[in-house]
Amino acid sequence: MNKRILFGFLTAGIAALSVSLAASRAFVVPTDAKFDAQKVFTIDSETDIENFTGRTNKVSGTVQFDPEAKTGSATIMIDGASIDTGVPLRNEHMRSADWFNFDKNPEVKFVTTSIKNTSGDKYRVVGNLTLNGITKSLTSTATVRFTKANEVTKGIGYTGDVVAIVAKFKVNITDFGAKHPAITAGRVNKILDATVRFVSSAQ
Amino acid sequence: VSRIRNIAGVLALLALVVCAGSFIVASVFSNGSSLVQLIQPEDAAVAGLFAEETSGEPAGTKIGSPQVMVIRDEKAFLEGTGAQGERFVSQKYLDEKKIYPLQVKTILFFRNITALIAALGAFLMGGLWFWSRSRVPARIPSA
Repeated sequence: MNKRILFGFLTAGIAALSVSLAASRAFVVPTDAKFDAQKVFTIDSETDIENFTGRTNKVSGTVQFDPEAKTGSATIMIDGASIDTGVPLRNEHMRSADWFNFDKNPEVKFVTTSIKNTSGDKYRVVGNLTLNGITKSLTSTATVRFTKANEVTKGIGYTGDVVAIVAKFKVNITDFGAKHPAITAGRVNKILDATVRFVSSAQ
Repeated sequence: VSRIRNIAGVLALLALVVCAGSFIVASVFSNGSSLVQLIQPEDAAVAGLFAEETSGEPAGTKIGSPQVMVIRDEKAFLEGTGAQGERFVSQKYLDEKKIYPLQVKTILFFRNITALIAALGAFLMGGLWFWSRSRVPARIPSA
């Protein structure tokens, strides 16, 4: 009798796990250049002289998302060396060891550790950000919208269902090794607003 | 001492002119500035995939936050205004035309630096002029 009960629990557990795995689906951020316009990473900096935004379309990664349970996970990579601030000399400075050190460590990586739906399409995302080889936990607010494959998504070029995500977070650059004297002197703000916006598609 | 007084007087006057001029030049450069939000325009179909509140705003990705900028090319502006009254500017257009808009913050920064240095110069040279003035002996009328 006990064996039957145990078998029943095991079967139910496996079935539940299967349903869960089936519900949480994999989406990939396409790396083809034709999708560049649909993904961007921006980082805003305020200095004494001007406020500027660095940006790049070199965003890649994978998303696991269950549109019914409104939960999932994601790993997003950004090519930091490709961030353009509009001024070539400033780009060089940003890549240097005093700032983000992208010449040595170009990959910026964000791996979620928990995602909680707060309301509608809005989520609170906690994850680990790796920048300049240093990993720190940070919290982000995000909007996540699932769209089933339709004529519009096919027209854009996506083969399956899509998940479009906009995540905003604050980065304290001194936590990630930035040590330029302008930061300590307060001429450049050390907490920057970053936004990543992309569409991922089911394969 | 008389020579020092003359030079200091001219330099003090020149510094005052530079100080006043910095405000005039900054005002000329800032003319036509407005609060703008840069946007990378995109197809409305793509924008619709994102759960962003964009009522009355052009479809696209916002680049940074609204800034007071000098953009004199009207073709760069998109339809509509934002919640803070900011106008929308196409980043794509700016990139194509290789326009890097000047921020009023930059103009004010250089104005303040110039005015501060000039005012300091005027104060020092004025002080020197005043000091040297008191050192010049009064002319004795010839008999």
